Amino acid sequence: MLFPRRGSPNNQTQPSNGPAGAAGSGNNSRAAEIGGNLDANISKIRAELGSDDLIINLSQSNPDKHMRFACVYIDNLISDQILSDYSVELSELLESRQSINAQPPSDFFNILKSRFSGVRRVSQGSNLNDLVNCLLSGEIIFLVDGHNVFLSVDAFSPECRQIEESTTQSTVRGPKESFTEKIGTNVAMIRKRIRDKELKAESLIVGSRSRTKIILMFINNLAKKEILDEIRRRLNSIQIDGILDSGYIEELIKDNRYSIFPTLLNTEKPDTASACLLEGKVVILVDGTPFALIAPALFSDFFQSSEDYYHQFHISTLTRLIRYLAFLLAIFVPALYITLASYHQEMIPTPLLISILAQREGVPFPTSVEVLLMEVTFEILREAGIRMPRVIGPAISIVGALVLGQAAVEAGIISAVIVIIVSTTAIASFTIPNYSMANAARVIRFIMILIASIFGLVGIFWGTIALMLELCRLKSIGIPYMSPLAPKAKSAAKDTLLRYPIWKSSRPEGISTDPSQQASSKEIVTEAQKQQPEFR
Amino acid sequence: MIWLKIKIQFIIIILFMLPVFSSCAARELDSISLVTAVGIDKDGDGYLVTYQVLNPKAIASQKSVYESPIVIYTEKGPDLGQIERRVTTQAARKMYTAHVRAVVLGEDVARDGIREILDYLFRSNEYRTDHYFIIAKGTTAGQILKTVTMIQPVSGIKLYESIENSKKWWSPTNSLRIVELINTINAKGSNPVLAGIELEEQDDIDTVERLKKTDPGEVRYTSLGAFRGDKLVGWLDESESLVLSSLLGKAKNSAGNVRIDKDTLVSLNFKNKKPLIDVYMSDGEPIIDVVLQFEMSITAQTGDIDFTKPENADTLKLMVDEKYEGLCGKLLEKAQKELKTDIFGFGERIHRACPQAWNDLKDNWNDEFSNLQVNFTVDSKLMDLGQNLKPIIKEEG
Repeated sequence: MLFPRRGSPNNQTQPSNGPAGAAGSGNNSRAAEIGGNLDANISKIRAELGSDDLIINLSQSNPDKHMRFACVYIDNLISDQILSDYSVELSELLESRQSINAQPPSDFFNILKSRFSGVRRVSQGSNLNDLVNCLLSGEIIFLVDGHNVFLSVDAFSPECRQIEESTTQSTVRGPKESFTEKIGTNVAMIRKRIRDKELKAESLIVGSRSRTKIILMFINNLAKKEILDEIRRRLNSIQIDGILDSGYIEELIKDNRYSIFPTLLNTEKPDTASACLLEGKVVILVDGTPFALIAPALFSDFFQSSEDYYHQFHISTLTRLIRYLAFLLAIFVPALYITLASYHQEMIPTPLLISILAQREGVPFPTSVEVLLMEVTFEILREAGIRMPRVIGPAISIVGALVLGQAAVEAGIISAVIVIIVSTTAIASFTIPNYSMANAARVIRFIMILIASIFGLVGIFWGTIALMLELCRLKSIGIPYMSPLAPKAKSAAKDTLLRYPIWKSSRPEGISTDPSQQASSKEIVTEAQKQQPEFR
Repeated sequence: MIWLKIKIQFIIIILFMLPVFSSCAARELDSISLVTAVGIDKDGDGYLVTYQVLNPKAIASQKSVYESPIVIYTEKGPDLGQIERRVTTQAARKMYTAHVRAVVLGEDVARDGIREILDYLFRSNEYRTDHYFIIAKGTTAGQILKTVTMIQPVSGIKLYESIENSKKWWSPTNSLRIVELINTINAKGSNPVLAGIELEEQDDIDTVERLKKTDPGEVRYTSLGAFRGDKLVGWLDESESLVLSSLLGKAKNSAGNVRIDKDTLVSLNFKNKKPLIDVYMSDGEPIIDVVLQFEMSITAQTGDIDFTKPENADTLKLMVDEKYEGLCGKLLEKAQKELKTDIFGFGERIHRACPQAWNDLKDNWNDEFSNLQVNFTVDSKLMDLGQNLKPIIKEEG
């Protein structure tokens, strides 16, 4: 039961009862039911969906043309392969059953239904609005003359990207595949990793015009009910005409929507999503984007890479600490340099001050202007690097490296230290595994630079305090953002700054209903076995 | 509404913060002159101050610049604060004294007393507390600072590094930083000693041309200047300085030699331990026992005495003990009779051990000190004979 709501016609109408569905189509057509007359129904559909890619095939049962029926679908949403399969099935059906002629239309309808329900999801209904929604979702509609129920067969098969290696969250070790734009594939990618009967998927439709399918995945007895209900409530309250990426959802359901920090984790990797499910978190898959959302997401989650759990815990702990350090560097280094160089020269060790002094000699700008100039140049280069066509990439990097690195220093416009500072921060910000968090660091860096150049070290202190307050204020679906550090939870801190060995770590306390250990802490190799002579 | 409230709160916070911010005035790196050393000499009733300023262009430039690495500004005036401001009339930038590495005092200034100078330096919010005080022996502080030195061309930094390294490997050199110096002066039972520096060559010391020589002949720490209170009263030579450093517990490594007999001269490296100092009262008079401990290793020897034999090693130990006990005694006599100043800090020891007795002694301690009985014991220990245990070349016969 992957999509339990699709099974019966009762559930079929449910999405359109939501606020999103109501906004889409007019009230009069919503109440409209289809009648027994095929021609009348077809003209109703045409009136509702007058578009050139609406295909209506009228057929008649052989040989006496007693039974008339129509097959309606929207072109290009259904692949040619499926269409030809269907037409073969249909003609077989019509040829083999001579007795069709004698039967009433409802029996023919049931024959059609049983024929297709073997391989495809089928549903039926009589509401015209549902019919149109089915058509727009890429289903083939069968209408039988004299019967006031339509049969809808799922055949949605738009062209889609293959499963490819993740481009935004690359790893050295571990699964390489990433989510695609097709939600069904994404669900399958999670389900093939967790074959648990408690893994549930709930689908809903958001967006009055885009009618985007959203699937909520969670493990029933691990995910906390309050969190789940809150996510459901938030998703159902969304009123928007279109959802084109999970970013829309994130921005709409975030707890503190003005905050610079991401409070929902996005991931492109099904293994990350599965790991979060096993921790009791909820995964929100959005059709049409390879980025899944994970809620609740804590500050520390943005510094974890899926790879952390595939390597030895020593290495992972080290790299994780380096990431936090890099985050601090990315925020504070330029600001600290400005304050030290223009307010607090006494804090720089004398030999270092001398070499900075020598480099600054002849530079026409104040330190803060110098830093801002370079940071802005770097951001422009970075933006250009992302936006430009792939083929001219090398050109930009050559120009960037030459302009930034060498020419500016040699011309005496920028001192060499600044280049080091800016490149340090740039590289540091790339070590943050999550791009959203890296972006937050970027913005905070600029704020810190401004504060530092006006107020000096005192300003940096105030800025840091403000940053702390902000971080401690944030919540992700009701869970404090800085937990398990603040408020402190001892057991959950095993996977925050450090990565404890798998046999020692447990599920996060506030998030999962079952904060027991994920793996047994019992040592598999016993003491006795260690004493045994080795195999020869 | 809530945003309005937050905005008002924010503005109020900023207003409260403004006085805090106003204290930090920005000074760009290229608007300050980095002073590496300050020299203070006497000029009539006032001072003649020499600022040694770094010339960053010449220091770290990749191209060779024909400029001096340091620039000297001298300014006269009745008091130090005025001088520091007045020097801007000749310098392009403001003197920035947070990175001063050494304060060189002219000998005449030191003999007159350094109280006012210390007060000025300590009161200033710009001077740090980690620079050393050095006394220019037989010359002026200005002359010392003018000297262009080799390897480290900024002589202010050279003076500092030289003390640091010399302290570590050659105990006679020693000096104090400002906090220690003030504490030692203020304590009634101790008096400071500061490093004395001498100029080796008098001609052309202030030209960069000197840097082309291989034998620069520049400045050298030769002795320690002993103070009574804040006034310089005399100089200790090298061996006296060595003993003093050991007695003060400041010596770490040092070197010396001892003559065993006519043929045998043994060179030794010393590793000092903290001296054990014991104070006791006898007939109302304090008596001090000092046990000086160090480990020694042989670095060279003449003659063919084999020190792997225990009896020879014992002889060596006895000779060393005897030699250094003698030096200690001589130094004590010099301090008691000639300088009349307790540079050992024995007064402080008495203060700690017998506070009641100290109450009677403290008011004219430097006089009482002349009659203080101190027993020196040296306890050396031969730890290491070097890579070769015996003399490598046997003497003929």
